[in-house]
Amino acid sequence: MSQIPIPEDRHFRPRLLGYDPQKSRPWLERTVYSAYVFVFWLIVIGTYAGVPALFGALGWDSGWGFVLMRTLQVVLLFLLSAVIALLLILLLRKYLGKVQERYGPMHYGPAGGIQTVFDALKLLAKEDFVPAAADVLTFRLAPAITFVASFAMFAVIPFASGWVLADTNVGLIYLIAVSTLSAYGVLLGGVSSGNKWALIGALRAGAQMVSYEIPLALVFLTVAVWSGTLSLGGIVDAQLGLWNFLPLALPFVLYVIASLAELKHIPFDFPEAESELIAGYNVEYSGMSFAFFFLAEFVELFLLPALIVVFFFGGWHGPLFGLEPGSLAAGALESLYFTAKTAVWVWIFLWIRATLPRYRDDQLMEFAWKAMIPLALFGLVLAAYLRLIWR
Amino acid sequence: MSLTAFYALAAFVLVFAILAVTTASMVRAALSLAITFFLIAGLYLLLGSPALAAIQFMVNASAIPIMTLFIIMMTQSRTSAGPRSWQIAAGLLAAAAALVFFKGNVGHGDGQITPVSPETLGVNLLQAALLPFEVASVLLLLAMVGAIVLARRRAG
Amino acid sequence: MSTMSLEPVPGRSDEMIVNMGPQHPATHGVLRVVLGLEGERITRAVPHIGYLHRNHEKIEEARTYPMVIPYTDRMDYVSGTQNELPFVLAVEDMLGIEVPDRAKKIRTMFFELYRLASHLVWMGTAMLDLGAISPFLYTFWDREIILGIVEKTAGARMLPNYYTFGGVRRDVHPDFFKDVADFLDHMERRMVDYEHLVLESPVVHARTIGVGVLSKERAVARGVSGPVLRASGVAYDVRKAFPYDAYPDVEFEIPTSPDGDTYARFWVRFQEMYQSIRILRQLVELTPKTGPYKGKAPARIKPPAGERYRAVENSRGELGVLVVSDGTDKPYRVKHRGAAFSNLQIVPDLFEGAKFSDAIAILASLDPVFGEIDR
Repeated sequence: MSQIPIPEDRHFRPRLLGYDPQKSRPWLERTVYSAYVFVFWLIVIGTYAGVPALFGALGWDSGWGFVLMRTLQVVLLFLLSAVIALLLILLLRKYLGKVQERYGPMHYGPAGGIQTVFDALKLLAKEDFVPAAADVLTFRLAPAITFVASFAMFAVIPFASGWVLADTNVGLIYLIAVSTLSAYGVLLGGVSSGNKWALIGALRAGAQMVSYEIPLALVFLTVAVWSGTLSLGGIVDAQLGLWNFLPLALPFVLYVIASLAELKHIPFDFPEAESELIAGYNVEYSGMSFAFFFLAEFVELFLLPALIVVFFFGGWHGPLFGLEPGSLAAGALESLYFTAKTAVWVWIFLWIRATLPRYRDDQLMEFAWKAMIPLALFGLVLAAYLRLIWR
Repeated sequence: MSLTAFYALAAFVLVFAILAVTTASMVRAALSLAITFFLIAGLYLLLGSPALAAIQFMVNASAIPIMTLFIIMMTQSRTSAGPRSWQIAAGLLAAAAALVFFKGNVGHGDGQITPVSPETLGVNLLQAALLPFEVASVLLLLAMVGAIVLARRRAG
Repeated sequence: MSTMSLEPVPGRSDEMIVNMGPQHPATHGVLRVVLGLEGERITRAVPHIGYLHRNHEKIEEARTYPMVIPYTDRMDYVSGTQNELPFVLAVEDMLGIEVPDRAKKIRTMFFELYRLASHLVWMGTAMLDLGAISPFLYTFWDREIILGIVEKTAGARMLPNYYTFGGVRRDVHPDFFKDVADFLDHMERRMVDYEHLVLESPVVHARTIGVGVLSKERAVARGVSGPVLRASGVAYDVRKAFPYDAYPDVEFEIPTSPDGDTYARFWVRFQEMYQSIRILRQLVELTPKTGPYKGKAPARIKPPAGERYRAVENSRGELGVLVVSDGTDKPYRVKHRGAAFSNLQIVPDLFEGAKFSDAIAILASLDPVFGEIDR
């Protein structure tokens, strides 16, 4: 790019804000991201190791004390999801800027680091109106359902060995259930908006999410069959010698595609096609209600890559360097591995978002029903057969 | 403590079930039904079967409400008249009959909850209850085929 | 019969009558299309224009001939000086003004630079409509370079008011030829990337191949011109049919495609960009670096009474101007034939039976600019 004739300085306009936009400071940006990840890591340690240790020391381990402990952990996880949303929205804008040869937000905070805080404040300050034609109760409820559905996935994600809120032995079925619930919130939002365009958008979104849930569930089942357990902690433990993405290569690819569709991410972002339906199902939402839809999407942008890591990349496995497994230090290191692997996958998702155009609605559905479901079924049968003969 | 949870869940189940049949707005009725099923999943959890609770959540509290919303959206039917007086009477009669029928069973349990693991559930489904399981899946297949035939006839 | 809206047809109870635009991110400007939608399929489409009507033709009747030139700029605002040329050529014909060879070549260079700029805007916005958000920024960066080159010479970027009767207003900047040569090197590297991102993308193939097929007969019947016509198989280009300026002196081809679908329109515009680069390379060599940039023109422009129609090949098609003079220094009537205006007539035909997102792709491939349509 240094050979092209950049016109003389006075021809090249933007001179905002008193700093030279020709000089970006990548070290500053990296420091900002590391700061966010550090805060994230601290909250994870606090939630999964700090709070149980505190409550154990106080002796409030059972009965109502247990309920209180879990409540506190959930509150901390809510804080975690806020940090995740802050970081991911910033990262999305900055990364899109990098791909598109521009800087992204640069104004608020060091290299734009606090931009998302101001976005959130703006959304808070906006008038949260309800359109006259809308069904008020359901209109208010829809973003809440969507957010809760996404947030509820946190309950079963293992950040490190033993660091899980609820290591139930039906974790996978629970995951399928809550991802279906987020489709429900989207539909409800569109139906209750009282707007034709929102209805069309909600129909498309709902149809797409429901269609892609079938291959998603089939891949979940494949992983369950291969690992022999329905609990996520068990699935991670079963990957001790071999990470799942090698023997389960086909389901892995299908899962990545299905996750993109669940997220309503490009190339499947038809329901949110900004250039076609304005915003689809959430066109009538503003203020904090909209913020909840937005938050749900970005929390899922973290959670679905986290699930990819849990199912196919060995979760929190990594070299412990002699630390005693089960100790706080080992747990912290393992959660760092988990975060790093999830970050790689989030980056890949953002990369896809920056590059590809979107598929048309019926092409999406055709792909799900005619290509992904047969492939997923085939993958399931293959995995069952392989498990029989190998293990 | 589980007794408190049981009473709370049961009360809310009743409230939302009554809401589901009395609301005029179809969307709210479907939503109340979904919440009712969700709370029943909670009851299953109290009974020690997280597998069944998760399946109840997945099917009845997530997937079926989505289907009902699709139907509401596509048929554009938004309101329904509330229950008529004979329907209310029939409902109360059915509730009374159920109370009488089950009265013999109330208070006879031994208070022990045997947790049912997914393995047990799966094994039972595929061994002891195999025939009903297969019949149910054939029924679902029939329903799917029927829906496709009906849709095609309407479009073509 | 009221054409302001669609009346529901009895027997088609499923049809939803929806208004798309005039504020809509995908209509490339202020276009309002009233659609009859049956689910996802469009059954009827009625476009409504006029939201950008600025009364150019009437205003130009009250301006002297040199004052008209900036007004013409503002019609197809992404194509800059391309709009000035037919008016300038018509008046030059009526007055018999000789344009020196160097001026002709300079005008042609600017003409082709703006074709590249316009096609870059088209590519960015078309990909944006299809969902890819990044190519928009790459193409606008390249366009920045073009606009910077123009600004060094003409003083303004998008609407330069640079051509005048007899040639151009001022001589080119000393760096002009080197800038253009460097830009062409850069552009050739970028075209490889654009081809990967746009023409070879499987998602673009899925969205555009077989979509919005326009037959040759219908295209000719509707008066379509430009890349849309050439993508339906008709090899008509005003630069070859009625050559002007320096086009007889350069070698170039007219890309056509027999398919007539949206992908063909994309492909033809790409090939036109390659041809523009080729023309510019030849002109960088051929243009004399010193010499007159403007021929002799009378101080007061007063063409004799009469009329004259001249057309050029805009980025969108045949842009024509009919100048009717009554002997005074203000024109009696200036009629602009907008290329995009005629191209828009096929919208109802192409939309019928298409799905809604196909409609977006079709509009993107038609590349309407509403300054030219509404004037």
